[in-house]
Amino acid sequence: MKLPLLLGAAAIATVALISSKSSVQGTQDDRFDPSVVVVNPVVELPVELVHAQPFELATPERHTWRVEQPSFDSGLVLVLQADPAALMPRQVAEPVLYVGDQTAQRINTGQSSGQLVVLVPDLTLADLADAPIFFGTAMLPEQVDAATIAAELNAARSLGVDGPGAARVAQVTDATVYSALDLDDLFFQVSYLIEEFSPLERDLIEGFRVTRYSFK
Amino acid sequence: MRNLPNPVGALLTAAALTSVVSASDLKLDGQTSITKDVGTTLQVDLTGNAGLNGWLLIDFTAGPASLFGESIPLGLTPQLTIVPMGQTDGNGLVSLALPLPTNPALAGTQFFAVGTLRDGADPNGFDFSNGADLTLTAPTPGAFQDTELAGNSQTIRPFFEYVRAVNEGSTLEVALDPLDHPTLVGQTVDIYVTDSQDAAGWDANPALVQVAQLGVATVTVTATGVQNNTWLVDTGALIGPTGTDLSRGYDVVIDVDQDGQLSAGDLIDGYGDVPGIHIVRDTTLPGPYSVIEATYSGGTFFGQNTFYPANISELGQLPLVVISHGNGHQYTWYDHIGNHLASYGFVVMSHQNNTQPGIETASTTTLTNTDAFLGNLDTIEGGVLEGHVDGNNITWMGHSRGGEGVARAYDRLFDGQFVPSNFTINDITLVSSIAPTDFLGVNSANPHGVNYHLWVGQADQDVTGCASSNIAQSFHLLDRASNQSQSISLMGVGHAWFHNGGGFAWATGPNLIGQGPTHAIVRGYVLPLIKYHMEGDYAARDFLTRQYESFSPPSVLADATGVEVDLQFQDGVENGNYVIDDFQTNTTVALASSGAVVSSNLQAYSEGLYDDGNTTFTNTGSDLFNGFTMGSAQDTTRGIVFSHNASQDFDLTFDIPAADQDFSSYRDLSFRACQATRHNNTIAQLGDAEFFVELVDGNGNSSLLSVFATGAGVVEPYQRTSCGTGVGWANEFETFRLPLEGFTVDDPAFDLTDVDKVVFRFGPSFGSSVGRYGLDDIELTSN
Repeated sequence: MKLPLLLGAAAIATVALISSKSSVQGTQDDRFDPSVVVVNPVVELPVELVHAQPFELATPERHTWRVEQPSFDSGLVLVLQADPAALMPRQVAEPVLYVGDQTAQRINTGQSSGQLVVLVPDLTLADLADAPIFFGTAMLPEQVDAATIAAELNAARSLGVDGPGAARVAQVTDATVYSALDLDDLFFQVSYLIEEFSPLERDLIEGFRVTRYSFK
Repeated sequence: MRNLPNPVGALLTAAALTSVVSASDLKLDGQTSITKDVGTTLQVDLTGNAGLNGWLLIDFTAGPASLFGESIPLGLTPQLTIVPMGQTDGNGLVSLALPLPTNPALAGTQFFAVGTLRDGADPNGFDFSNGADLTLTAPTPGAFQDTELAGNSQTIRPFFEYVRAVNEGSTLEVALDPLDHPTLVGQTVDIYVTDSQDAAGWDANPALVQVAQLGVATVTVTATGVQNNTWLVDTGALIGPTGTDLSRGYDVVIDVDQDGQLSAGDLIDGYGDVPGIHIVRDTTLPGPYSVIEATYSGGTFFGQNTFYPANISELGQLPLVVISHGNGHQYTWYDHIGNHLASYGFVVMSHQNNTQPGIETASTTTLTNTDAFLGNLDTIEGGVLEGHVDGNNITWMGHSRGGEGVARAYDRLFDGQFVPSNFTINDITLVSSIAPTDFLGVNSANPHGVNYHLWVGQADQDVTGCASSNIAQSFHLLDRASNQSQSISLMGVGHAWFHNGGGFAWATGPNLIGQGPTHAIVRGYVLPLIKYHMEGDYAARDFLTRQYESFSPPSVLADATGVEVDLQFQDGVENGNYVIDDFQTNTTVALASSGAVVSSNLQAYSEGLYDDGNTTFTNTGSDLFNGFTMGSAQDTTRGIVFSHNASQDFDLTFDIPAADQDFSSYRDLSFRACQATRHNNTIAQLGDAEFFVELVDGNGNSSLLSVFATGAGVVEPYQRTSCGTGVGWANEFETFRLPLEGFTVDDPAFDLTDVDKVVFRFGPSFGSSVGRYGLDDIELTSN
């Protein structure tokens, strides 16, 4: 099994990047600065693909996990395994999760199980094999644009991170397509997947399984 | 029938017990002929040449008659009385607030007055003024002396704290300063605690009906200070509120003529629309309504968890509280707030919050869920809420990323970047952030002029407040609020204890109190917070402004042993406060915002941005603003920091501009202060620190109060480690409000109408012998 294990050198490079930010008077500013070019974004955190399943939406949704917020109506639901400690939700910046040239939308936290259920817009099973799955620089996904994604992906590839491979994808794929009205409906359906892989997240699961009204 | 006092004597007795004034031009309340109710106060202004001694001559007839070869408009009868008035000031003015007799039998009596100055330039050595006359009248209905009477005794000056609210089951005391009521000295009076009435009620029904446990207190007013004129009137039996009310109001009356009626000359606390004292409920306990909780979804990121009274169909339009959770939190994790507020008649809706992408997306879900909720009331829960939600009275409350999100949501409304269909920016009454992040900075995470509130847990291990991260410094948002703002800071409380989900507490530090006690504090504070802003509840203000050590829900301290809670509160500009110095303008050390000249002999004194100068709280000595986390480099919040050692006493003096020296119309001298973390002076006397504030009037009289007169001193920083070396977390500001009337207690000569200097005094003679402090927002408050 091939894990996209990233090297410590990358983390060192990230530190170097941060220290090269323009200094400010007072407390060092750790907030996002679009003028700072991210050149070595990748952090050391292995991710393993354990499940893949396609989805389709009857109503297109916006992918809010990147600056451009593109519209999408299909993609993949993935289950990824990672160190639970690294999945503990934080209020401060967290490493952004990338799958190929797209940011992944986390659906659960995975903090109790190490099993993270995510959604990747517009990704197909065919493309997944060659799509590196990796955590990038800690920042807000909504601040990640196409240029950042490209830089992160290039850096990941340069560090030897490859896609999971066709064999692994085939091994973990459930080809049954989630067919959902919208994301809310998809989350309702995916709640059973979360229950399977991360059963202690009861509040999240139950929060997806509530009465649905038709809001105007 | 009682003997009527000699009218002139009564007038002059009142005058003699008050510090006095002088004249070549005499005005009574700005006029030369005036009628005035008994029991009121007369303003006497005498002008002439500067630096001359003056007298006021008072008689029953107008004359004229000759005195020192000069005709003056007085009869010079045997009842003529001469009152020394002191010396005219540099402008040739001397003024006197003259308390008039309280006896209604004197109504119709006319007095004539002339002022005179001892002026060597005058041929006969005296410069006589014009004549002026005063006619006493019976008080019109409602013209009683409405003054503060109810509260709690204190062991230090001013010896009594006049308050709005007392906890149900606590004792109630009444006090008066005999120097403010000289005509009452020696009189035996009755004290009543009555059910509250407004002015119209009292005018229609002046009968006094005692409701206090101890019955009518008959006491004799002595001349020996407030402490000897403080009386216990109830030991906790006064009935508290019913229904959803926070408090039950009572009025307090000192029945001077002991006739069992509110009549002329009596004193009343609560004559107007506001009761004299409020007996408040334990705000941690649930309200009277059963609560229905509904959880549903209206689509993508429209999951909502709504709480409302079960009898909502019988109620009118209820204010709406919207809760936006934090990252990794669930919208179903705020039952402790939802159930509590709904049981008091609020509708609470907690929604799915899109926090993981960031603050913009979180703010979007705050905006869209509020809009969708208001737009779908006919659908939610079968329409039971339709017609019962007040969309013009909304509070946004957000946690962590959601706490920043609600501020950003308001900013987007402010900037016109989001236009909702079912509400407007004016419908947002309050924005409250729980341990918010600050990803977006000053231009976007900005509550602007909305009423803003902040919750902080000093043991927060996630949004830590450490100097290393601007994102994790919650206080930035508080200091960006440009109008009314307040905060509550809880030592020993971690990030996750503000919600009721499980999991990691994100708490580190000493004396951790746990989730249950944290929720008791939250319930006890959020109810008055919401009632104050959304219902205008007057009594609720005490929960927000008084020291927590002095006033807090009775069950909290029992529930959270050793808990330390610190409050800040700043009124909005509409309140009419007078800012002595907020350090935002006139940024040189020697000049205050007000134009006051500032002088000091304090050590390591600096005025500047309240932003820690490096990335740790380590006491390096070179970072003068160590431990301050109120702003980032892009913010503008400023203040001062300084030290003192034990070698001598130190002061910080503000010379108040001449035009601003009348403090008499204000209620409190307010400022916020903190101790500097990890500084040697802070460590040397670890604990609540004490310093004094002195007012000096134009005649050189001075009056001192300790900060402990507010109920507690300046708290030491939370004793948490990391963020560099040493012990102590971020500098913890608290607001102190010293009552201005307290400066006149037992100090007959002190003149609040002419305050020349405000002096902060430190050192061995003034409390803590050593210290290092931050000090900011020095102002006079009206409310």
